Amino acid sequence: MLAAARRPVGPPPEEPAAADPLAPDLARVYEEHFDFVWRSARRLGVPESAVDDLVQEVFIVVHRQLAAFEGRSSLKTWLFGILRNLVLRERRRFARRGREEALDESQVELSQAAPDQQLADRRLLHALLAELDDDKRAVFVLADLEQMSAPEIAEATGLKLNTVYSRLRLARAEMERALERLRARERGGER
Amino acid sequence: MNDQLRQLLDRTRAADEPTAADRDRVRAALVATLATGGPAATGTSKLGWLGRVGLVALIGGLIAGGVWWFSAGDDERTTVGTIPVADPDPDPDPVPDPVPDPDPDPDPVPVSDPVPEPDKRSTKPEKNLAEEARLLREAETARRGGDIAAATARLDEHRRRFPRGELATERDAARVLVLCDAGRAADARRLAVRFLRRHPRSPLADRVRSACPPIP
Repeated sequence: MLAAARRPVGPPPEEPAAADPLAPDLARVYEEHFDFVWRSARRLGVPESAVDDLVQEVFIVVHRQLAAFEGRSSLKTWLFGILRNLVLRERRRFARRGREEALDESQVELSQAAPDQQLADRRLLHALLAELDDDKRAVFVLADLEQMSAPEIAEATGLKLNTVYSRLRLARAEMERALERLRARERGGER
Repeated sequence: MNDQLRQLLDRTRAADEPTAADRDRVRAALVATLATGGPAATGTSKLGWLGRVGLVALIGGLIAGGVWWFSAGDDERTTVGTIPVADPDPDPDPVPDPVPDPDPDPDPVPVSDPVPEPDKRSTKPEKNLAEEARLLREAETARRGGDIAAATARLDEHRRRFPRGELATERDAARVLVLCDAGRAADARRLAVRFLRRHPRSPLADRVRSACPPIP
């Protein structure tokens, strides 16, 4: 009663906001970097059926290690390092599953009209990326798709800066050749 | 880089973006994982399993209500600049290596037990997630209250309605705990072994492994 009498006149107090179940730091990292982690996972060859689990695992590692993160590298490059380690650990499984998914997709396509251009481009990109070895693939993804600087890529991959440059040159050359081969095959098929 | 490749990259740079549904789904799974087992290795969470499952329900409820408590966030793809051709820097900071030892890689079998037809009543993923979380929360409440029959009934309902639901793995882990509490150690152990075989790398594995008699 007394408490009610002392309550200031005015609009009723708002309900307290629902708490975010993730710790604030983790929630912030998740919000800011989820998209980056997700698309990087896809570009490093994580098949569609495994990407949820892997991305989740990245953030579990973040949850466990965020307190120890000293900020010597950027959060983004640190995240990529975590992701890359996880992908490397699972790459054989991912490669096998990726081939199965590609097969599934090709079977689906048989019963469909030509896939839309965006989808076709994305598949082409993934097919080309799959021709690169792990280092070149990571460097190419970060440089030419994420448009990171070389020092950042060195941080993210643990490669020396000069190695980053050389891997990028080689990766671009291999991608160009692979694309040429593919186009030539297409032209041959059209004849 | 030749024009052909450059054009392909221009067309695909924005590809592979996750959808809002991807973001929400993984977030809900992350919350559930941290709630039911993930933090075991960190010791950072002081919430009990009930409280943690409650959080899953909270996130599910908020999704169902169309309320998301943080903004979607601006696109963080800041262009830092394309790569220069020279000017190497001193050694970069090493990337921490947080990854535990790799497991041999048995392919995970589909998440859950063989089950009857899924529920066709709820069609929206957000609603399903809220409903899934509610069932798991109620199962945990019942388990904590010693009402094993009710806990089992909730888990059975979840399995019937959401055989491949977002929280199916969490349900399987919860069932191990229920069986342990029911004194059915042999069944719990059998289920735990199966869980660990199907999800050898699951963040819930430790929780399941230590739930009852230890699993070697």
